[in-house]
Amino acid sequence: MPENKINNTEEEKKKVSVSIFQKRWKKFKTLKRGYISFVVIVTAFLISFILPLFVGKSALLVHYNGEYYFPLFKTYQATDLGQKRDAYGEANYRFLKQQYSEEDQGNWVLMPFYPYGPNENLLNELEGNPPHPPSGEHWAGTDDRGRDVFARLLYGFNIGLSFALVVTFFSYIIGIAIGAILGFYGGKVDILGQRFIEIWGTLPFLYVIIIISSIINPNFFLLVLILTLFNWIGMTYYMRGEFYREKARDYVAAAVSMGAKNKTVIFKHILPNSLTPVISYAPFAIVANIFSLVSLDFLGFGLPPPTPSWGQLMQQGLTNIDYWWLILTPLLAMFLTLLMITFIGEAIREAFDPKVYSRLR
Amino acid sequence: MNPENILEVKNLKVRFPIHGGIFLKKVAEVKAVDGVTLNLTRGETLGLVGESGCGKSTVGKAIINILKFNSPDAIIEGEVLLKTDEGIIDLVKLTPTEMRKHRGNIQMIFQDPYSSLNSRLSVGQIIEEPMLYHTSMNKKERLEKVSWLLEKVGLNPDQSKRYPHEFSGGQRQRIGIARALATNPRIIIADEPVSALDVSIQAQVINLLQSLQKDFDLSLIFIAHDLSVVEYISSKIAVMYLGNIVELGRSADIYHKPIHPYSKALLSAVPLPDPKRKGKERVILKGDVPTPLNKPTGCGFRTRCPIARDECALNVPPLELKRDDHFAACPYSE
Repeated sequence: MPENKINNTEEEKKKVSVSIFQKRWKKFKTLKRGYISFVVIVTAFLISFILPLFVGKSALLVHYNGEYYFPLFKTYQATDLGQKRDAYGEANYRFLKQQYSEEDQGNWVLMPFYPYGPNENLLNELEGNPPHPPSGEHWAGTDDRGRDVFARLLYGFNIGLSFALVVTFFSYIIGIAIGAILGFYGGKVDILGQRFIEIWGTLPFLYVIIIISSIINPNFFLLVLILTLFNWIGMTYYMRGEFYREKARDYVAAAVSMGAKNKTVIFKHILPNSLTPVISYAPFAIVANIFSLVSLDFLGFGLPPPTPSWGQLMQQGLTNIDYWWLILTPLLAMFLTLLMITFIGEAIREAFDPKVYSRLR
Repeated sequence: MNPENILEVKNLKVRFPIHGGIFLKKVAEVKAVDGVTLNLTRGETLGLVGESGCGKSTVGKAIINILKFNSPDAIIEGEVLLKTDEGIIDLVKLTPTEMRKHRGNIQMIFQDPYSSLNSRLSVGQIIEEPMLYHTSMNKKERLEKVSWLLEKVGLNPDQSKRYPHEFSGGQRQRIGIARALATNPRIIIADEPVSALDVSIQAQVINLLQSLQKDFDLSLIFIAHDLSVVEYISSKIAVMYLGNIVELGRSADIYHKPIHPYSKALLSAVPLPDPKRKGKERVILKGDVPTPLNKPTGCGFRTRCPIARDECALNVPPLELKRDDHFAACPYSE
């Protein structure tokens, strides 16, 4: 069949083949504010895991009497390092730094760029009563227990975003699995499953949290568990619909007629074609989960103190309404984070839109 | 089973129950296929024609046993006997797991090349997939076969890394054909393989199917509503109306000397590029096709038939031999 041959010009051969995902990623990159937000949030989140290198009360390196100490990895007592002022309990490296430079005996301390920790009480270093207003030393002031607000905000970012990611991840796994089962098997499975989801969905989330918190002190994992148990429901509706639709498409019939097992049909064929709502919904779910944690912390049912959290800061802002930095800084941090994640979501949605022309550029 | 035949369909019936009311009781039934009997010999092409909704695609899907995947309620009766190396198998009775082993023998080409290829997989992965299930070839052998198949269907083997959305409709249909050939099947069911394509591309794909049929010694069931396409490719034609075969015979016989009044009307509707024949011999039927929910008693065609009699309402007319190898389901027509 020479006449049937498709002619391949040189130009054609040079064309690089791209999958649909690569195409969408390319389009996502052209949506500037979403892409920039994505880069900023991802970088900030990655950096927040090594935050003690930049923000913290522990010194990075101490040189004392000819030996090196790494306080990031091991706790030293004040007496171990020859601290004179308030020499009890754990060493205070800011005091040590001052002391060593006054003594001038070749000892030195390398502190992080912003040398205050999130849970550290600074009452014995600062004059006056807390909360202290923002200053060159403490960029966002201190809270009502004399802790540095800026450090608490940064550590709170890591905790809030990690929490939201973990909750989103687990509730998506459960939601996708259950939605896929309902949509793929249909019939009685679907009817019974849907009724169960409807009943489960009527459980009042806040009351359950309040009841559980009054019995046991919630920790990170317990809160993840509770939120996941209430959050998976939304995804099942999307996945169920996607599976119903994709199951009726010809490529699935083709896979079955080739002899693919149900497992292969689900994971190799239907699932990759059903991920659009998962990916485009994820940033908004993360926003919602950050917000949930902030609300719970605000109400006092969230992470146990002294965990640095934005909701707890806002709660302080409400009780100390005259101290503007306690209200403004966590609100600003939350506003910026949620705004950027929403930008990401918006750009993802746009990148997954098959229409060529875009409103966002 | 006749030794010449590779596939025999005996009295195949497909019914779809309709549930309604609060307790989802069965309220009605769609008789999509109502007693179809077909034979397919080695290397032959059987054309299955009829208008939309007459059940021709359902016959194809019932033969390869994928109806229950999307309509688990469907009731399938009759026999679909397939000759394999392990003897004769009735596909209707197989469970999905048992059926999977035999799927390599009988493959399908789908109508819409835009939805029949998984857009997440590259062309190479798509064509390779059936080999994963039915052969024990290693990765290298599979890739070699993919290249060979791509060449066979007139595509460039370099294109196996490409994704389906980078191809045109005709090229995608060639990919679908290569996938169907990957397991060396004996039978291919082509469910309107060209009706989604441009006319110029249709000819290329049909020529390709014909040459592949010789190379691979394939038996084809060619389902279509385009009569000129079917006449060109088929050696035998079965005309379907409302779930029944009304006429069955050699392609040329049916095309030039149809017996059943429905076939006459259907064939007279084929446009001929001959200005002198304009307006002549056009049989126009009255009314619409009755719904398969509520089929007329007796002959399904009697409500629209120009030669219907009172007796037609009594019994479903069987296919009877009218001429040499030419069957029709009408006792009153010659």
